[in-house]
Amino acid sequence: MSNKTRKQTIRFPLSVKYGVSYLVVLALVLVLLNTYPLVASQDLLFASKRVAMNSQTAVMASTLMGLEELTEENVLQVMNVLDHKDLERVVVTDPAGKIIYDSDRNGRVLANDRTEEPTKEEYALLREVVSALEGNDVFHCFYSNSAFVSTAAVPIVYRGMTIGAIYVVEIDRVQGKLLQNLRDNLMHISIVITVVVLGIGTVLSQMLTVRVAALLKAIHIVGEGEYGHRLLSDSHDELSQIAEEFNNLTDRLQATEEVRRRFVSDASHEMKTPLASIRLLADSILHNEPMEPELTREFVTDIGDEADRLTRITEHLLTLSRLENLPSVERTPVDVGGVVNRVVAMLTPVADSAGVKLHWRFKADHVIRCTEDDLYRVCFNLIENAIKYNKPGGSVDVILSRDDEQILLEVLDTGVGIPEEDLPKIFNRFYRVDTARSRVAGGTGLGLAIVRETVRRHGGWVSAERRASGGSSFNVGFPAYVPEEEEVWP
Amino acid sequence: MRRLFGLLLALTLLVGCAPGVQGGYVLYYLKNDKECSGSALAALSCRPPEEESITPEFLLQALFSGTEAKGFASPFPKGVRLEELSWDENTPKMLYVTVSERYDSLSDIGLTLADYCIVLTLAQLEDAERVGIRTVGQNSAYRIYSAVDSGAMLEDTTVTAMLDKTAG
Repeated sequence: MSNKTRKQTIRFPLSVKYGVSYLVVLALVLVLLNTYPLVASQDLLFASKRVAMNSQTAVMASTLMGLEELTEENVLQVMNVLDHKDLERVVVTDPAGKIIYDSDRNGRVLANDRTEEPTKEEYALLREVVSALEGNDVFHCFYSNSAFVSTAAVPIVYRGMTIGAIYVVEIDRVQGKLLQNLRDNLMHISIVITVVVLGIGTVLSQMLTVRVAALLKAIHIVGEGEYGHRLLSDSHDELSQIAEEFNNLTDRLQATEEVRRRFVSDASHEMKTPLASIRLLADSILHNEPMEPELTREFVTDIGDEADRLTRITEHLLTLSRLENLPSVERTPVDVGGVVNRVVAMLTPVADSAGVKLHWRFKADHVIRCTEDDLYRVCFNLIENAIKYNKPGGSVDVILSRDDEQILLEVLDTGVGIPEEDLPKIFNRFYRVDTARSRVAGGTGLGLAIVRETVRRHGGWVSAERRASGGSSFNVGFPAYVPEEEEVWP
Repeated sequence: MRRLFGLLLALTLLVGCAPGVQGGYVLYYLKNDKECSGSALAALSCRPPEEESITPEFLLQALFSGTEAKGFASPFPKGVRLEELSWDENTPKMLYVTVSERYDSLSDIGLTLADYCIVLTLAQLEDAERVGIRTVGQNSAYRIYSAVDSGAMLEDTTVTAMLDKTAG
């Protein structure tokens, strides 16, 4: 499987997306700006026209209703009395739609000094007229060519019979011009808004995308292994926060990488030493023939010891790796006293052979939530270290106590002690206070690191300090086990 | 047999007539859409089976058979048919149309609209400049209309969409 990461091609850059979103919002605003005021004004005017024209036609119709019969003469007389100069056209028809009075035709006749008499009968075949003759009041208004054109028609009823209809047309150019001006003004405002918003949008989009591009570039640089690269965050927004988080992440990454490199280097070094010894001893056996059997046996024993050390280092490294990588195991209540008893029983012969006295004192019922194997490993490492690095005739005290919510385990020795400046480092991997002595004692430099990892894994802590009377004191604290409801401690 | 023939003719005409077809002839009907202004009549395109077969009889048969096109309505009572059609021997381009009795149920504006649907439809024929209409069985005079003028003024809307009628 290839480790190379495929670089994705950016088909729609962020700047384009921002630009498009600005444009969409702008278009919506402009559509709203250019429609709603116009539609609202238009509707308002239509309503006003409806009231005015219905009222005007109703007055005309009611005047004409006084006539028994609609003839050209009597309708003309009535219409001459009525004021309808503001109307573009007024038409009065009989029930068949025949035009009895037409302000347009009458105007033409008057203009020609009555020399031209109408020779044709005209019919108004308009839907408004047809509807009015069917007994309905009709009003219609629309905006066209910078003018409001309104038409209205009402029936003329005499004693319950429709004897005709009156149809009027009004063309309002003044209001139409006002609406046209409003439309033009809105258009001009829209153009200005468009230019300004596009300008601001472009600048903002550039500002934003430049910083995002810088972040992307920094991620690429760090991704290629340049862990020293950092981003500048000079503002106080989300992108600056992201930059800060990125820098923190890179810091941690750099630290982790350094630890990893150092660990690999230390582990290699630690494993190289026994391997070199084995090689040297083997060469000595090969090149010094004939060799005394006693010396050969000694060399082979040394090779075996070095091989044991390699095995221990490997086992400890595996233990550490498991502690770091394996998911947390199911923890059960464990009696610390029982585990310490087993460890003490196991290490008593070792202590005896080293001339070290092993004392322990604790009461029963110190329970923590842990795994028995992990707790055993912690106790074993600490007590074994206390014996290994002790003086002949010295002693090791193991004290188990309870402090409120904690179970405390103290391992006190009367050994050479740890220098103050080394105390913070003794839990690091492969760190030794006295390298030569440690190797002689069979130490791998990983025991305390394993203790710290194990204790942390179970929510505890571990510390080390110098004793005033000489020697060292290792203290471990675990949260005391508190049984949950319906849980029975066996 | 005549009924079956009439039904087949009506079906043929219905299939052949559709709004918005360019060219050919048109039939005039009442407008029946959501609009409430403008001309009360509208033209519905009619594609005859053969160009040569266009006659006044064909157009009137098609007109009386009605329409189911959206936005159009027939002004004629159901069952109206053409009874007689003749050219005036003395007056050139004068066409007389006699329709069945059911036409008598029309009056006032309804009659005017129906008459104009006939006149405007026939006005497409070159030879028909004036049209007289009456109902069969009555000796009343023909209602005579000038077909040429009427056809020329239909396209306008609102104020100018008024049709002329010359007194007979």
